[in-house]
Amino acid sequence: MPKEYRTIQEVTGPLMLVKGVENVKYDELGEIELADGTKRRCKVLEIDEGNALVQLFEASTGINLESSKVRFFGKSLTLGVSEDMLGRMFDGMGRAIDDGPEIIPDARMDINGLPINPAARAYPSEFIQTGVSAIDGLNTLVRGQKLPIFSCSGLPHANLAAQIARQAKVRGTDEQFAVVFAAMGITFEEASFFMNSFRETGAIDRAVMFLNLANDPAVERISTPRMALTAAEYLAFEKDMHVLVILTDITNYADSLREISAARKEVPGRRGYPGYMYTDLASLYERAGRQLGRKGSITMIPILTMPEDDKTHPIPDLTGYITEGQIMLGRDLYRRGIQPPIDVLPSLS
Amino acid sequence: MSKGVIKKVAGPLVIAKGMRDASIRDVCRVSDKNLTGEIIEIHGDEASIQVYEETSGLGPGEPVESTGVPMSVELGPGIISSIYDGIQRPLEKIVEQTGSNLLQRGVSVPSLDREKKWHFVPTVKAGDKVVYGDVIGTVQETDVVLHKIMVPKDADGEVKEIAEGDFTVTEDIAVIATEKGDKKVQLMQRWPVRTGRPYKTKLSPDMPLISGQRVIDTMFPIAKGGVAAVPGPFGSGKTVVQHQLAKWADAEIVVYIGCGERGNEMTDVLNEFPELKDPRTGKSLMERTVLIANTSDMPVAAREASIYTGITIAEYFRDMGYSVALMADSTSRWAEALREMSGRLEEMPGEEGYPAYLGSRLAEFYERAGRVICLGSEGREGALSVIGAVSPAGGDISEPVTQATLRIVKVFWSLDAGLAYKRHFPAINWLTSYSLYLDSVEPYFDKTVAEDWSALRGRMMGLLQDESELEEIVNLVGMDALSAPDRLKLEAARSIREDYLHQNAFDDVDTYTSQKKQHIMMTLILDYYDEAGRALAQGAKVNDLISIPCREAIGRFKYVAEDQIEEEYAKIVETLKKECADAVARKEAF
Repeated sequence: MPKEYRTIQEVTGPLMLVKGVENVKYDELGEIELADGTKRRCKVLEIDEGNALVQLFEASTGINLESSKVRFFGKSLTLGVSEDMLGRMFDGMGRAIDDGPEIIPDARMDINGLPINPAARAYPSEFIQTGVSAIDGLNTLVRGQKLPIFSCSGLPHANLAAQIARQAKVRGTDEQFAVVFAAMGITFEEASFFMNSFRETGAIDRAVMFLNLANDPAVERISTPRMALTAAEYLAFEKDMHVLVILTDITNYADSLREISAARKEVPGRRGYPGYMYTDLASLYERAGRQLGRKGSITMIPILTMPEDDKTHPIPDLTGYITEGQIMLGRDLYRRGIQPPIDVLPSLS
Repeated sequence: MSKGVIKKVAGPLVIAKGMRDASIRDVCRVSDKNLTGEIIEIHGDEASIQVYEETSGLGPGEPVESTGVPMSVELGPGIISSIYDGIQRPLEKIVEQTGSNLLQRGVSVPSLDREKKWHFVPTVKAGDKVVYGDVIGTVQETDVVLHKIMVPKDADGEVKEIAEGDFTVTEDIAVIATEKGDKKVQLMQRWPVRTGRPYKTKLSPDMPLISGQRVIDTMFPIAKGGVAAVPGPFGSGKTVVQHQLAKWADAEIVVYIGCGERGNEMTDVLNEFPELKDPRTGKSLMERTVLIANTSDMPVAAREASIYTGITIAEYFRDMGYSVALMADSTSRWAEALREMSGRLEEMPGEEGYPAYLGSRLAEFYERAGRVICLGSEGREGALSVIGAVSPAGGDISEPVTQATLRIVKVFWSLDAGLAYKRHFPAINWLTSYSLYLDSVEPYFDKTVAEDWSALRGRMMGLLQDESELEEIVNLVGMDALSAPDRLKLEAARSIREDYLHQNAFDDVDTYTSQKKQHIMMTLILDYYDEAGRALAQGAKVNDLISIPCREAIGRFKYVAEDQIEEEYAKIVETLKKECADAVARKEAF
């Protein structure tokens, strides 16, 4: 039984300071139990002797310095993975939210993953046919690539992503294919658009969905893409599947990152985003790829809406530096009724 | 050696107590997981350590042990063709040893293979007097690299024993009797990465580093021992420029540092380089290349160390008397790593959150480049050229990293998003880029390639400058307002841009252009301008001159194989003259 602490000193935004802890490690997973028995998860952001700075994954509402209890589990946040996850739906923290049974995990994997040894990567080369001429003809997508969609608010990026997920295949092969979908801070309508689209085409049976909607706690968004990528890594590198990961919307993810950084009173970089945002985004995007000696692959399509349609905003800018090309949507093309409104000149692959 | 315990963990920063005896910059082993770290600050008995591996799962009370030595690299045979991480761990060996494609923590694998035997051939004999830096023997490391074994520091004296034979890197190859007793010498030596390796004197660069890239060699050359920066927004082809230089630069050794960049790019290098042949030696390019990879998903603190690891290896080969080229892609990621550590140390930030010492650290790094007379009695000359990519946020070069870099470097290849957008690659803007080595390397071109090299270059640059001014007029009042000679000038400038400066990195012929071919191409384009100008003066119509068929042949000249250039040139000049004469004749017919 882990030790319980009732020594919460401070709660500010998504952060909490717990005093007098023993044997707590950096990045360890914890749990807060409120007076009414609700449990919320958290992780250690900083540990200084007996003082643990803890980041909540869920809302801080109702935490009481007197009566709330904190426990630490001695391990970092993991996701129970299994092939049965296909066709299922989870919340941003990896808990099943459809009516299906609990997942019996084959393995528990650390959601942060491990970096791929550059000497053990295989270079992406198999062309994926998406059926979208502006992509296939001019900005080809290959297995193991990360190709973001730079969109602007009001443009049909969701349609494009759903279309790619529906139609993508490698010509002349019949290999196992799966879609992992992570929604971060998007609206219910947008999420249900994806669900319906997957359902109509039958892709839902081959899809794993992680949903953190706009009304779910913002801090949960930090883990949502990591949950999704962990599931994707399991399916790709343990189960030899070709996985397409769709992350939407990276802009909301980056805003959550900024929220936590601001709560920690860190020195901000450009536009208030933390200086380590490049590294943080890279730790997501770089999980796409192929590995030597493994059949499966992870192909990633992150979607981001550029604030004010501005390509030089830190989110699209840093993304562009990490990803291998980009698909840019154009408002003028959309107004002319061109579908999908892919602006081919600034797009690149 | 001091042993302490962890007090605080915040990301890659660990603070340990009980470290009073440790020195700053010492390497530490952190926790039972055996992670590597480096002391960057000491307050009383508390040391701040930046840890080069993921610190997840570390907590107060775990042991920290200082090794008492600063961060060092192992230098000796076996470096060439390796791929190392930021702290010189061999990545290929790690895959073999762990059997995993992922990077686990706390793996320790020696940088140089301890088992492999190298054939050592002495160049001195017992009884010879040697000093620090003298070559005492050689090892043929790859087909093209002769690894020279040099006398290490504090080993001046008389050679007592030395023998030819097969040795591992740690076996004794020689004994030198010094004033302080006998000193055993091995194939391998160590050097702290943050200290530049010493040399006798620094010289100013006078030879160009030939890269086969026309816009670089002709317009903005870099000298051997020079420093250059390539800033550009994403998608403007920074990495392709760096790869092209790594492939074709006429350096004997290339050190390529992938600092915080994409994993697939390093894989690309690993796949492609062994297949490519060096145009000078005919051997695989990998046989002269060392790769340092800290991809963006690898631990951030090691990114900070990676460029020092790279440049120390580069200096070691420079000391052998080689011309070494080092590419760092990208220094912005290194600066960001610096900023992240600075933030965790709660230092007062300078511009945009970067630490105030950003400029001086960058200057220190770039200043380790240069053409030098190496240590040792024979006066070998070595050169280390450094080419750093910069990734300015939002493509805005007014940001601190680019500005601090521009204060130091002598060559600035400004990558332009507008050109990349027009698919003009390499997207080096000819109006904003500059090279301060021009004056020192042009005599070399004039002497070895052709007398009129710098004159031709000057004319081309002039035409491009005129073009930008004429473009403004065209934008205001339209093409028709221009006089015929000005329209011809615009056409010549367009030809320079499209037929000369544009170069296709993915075409087998066009990817590398010899100096001779560059000269012929320049001559050809200016021949057209001169011939057409003469025809114009004789009354030919400008539209006829712009549309003469041989211009297509000029445009395709870049795809002509190196062994056919002279023949092809003679043919084109002949048609050119004929067609210009025809244009004049056509006018007279009316």
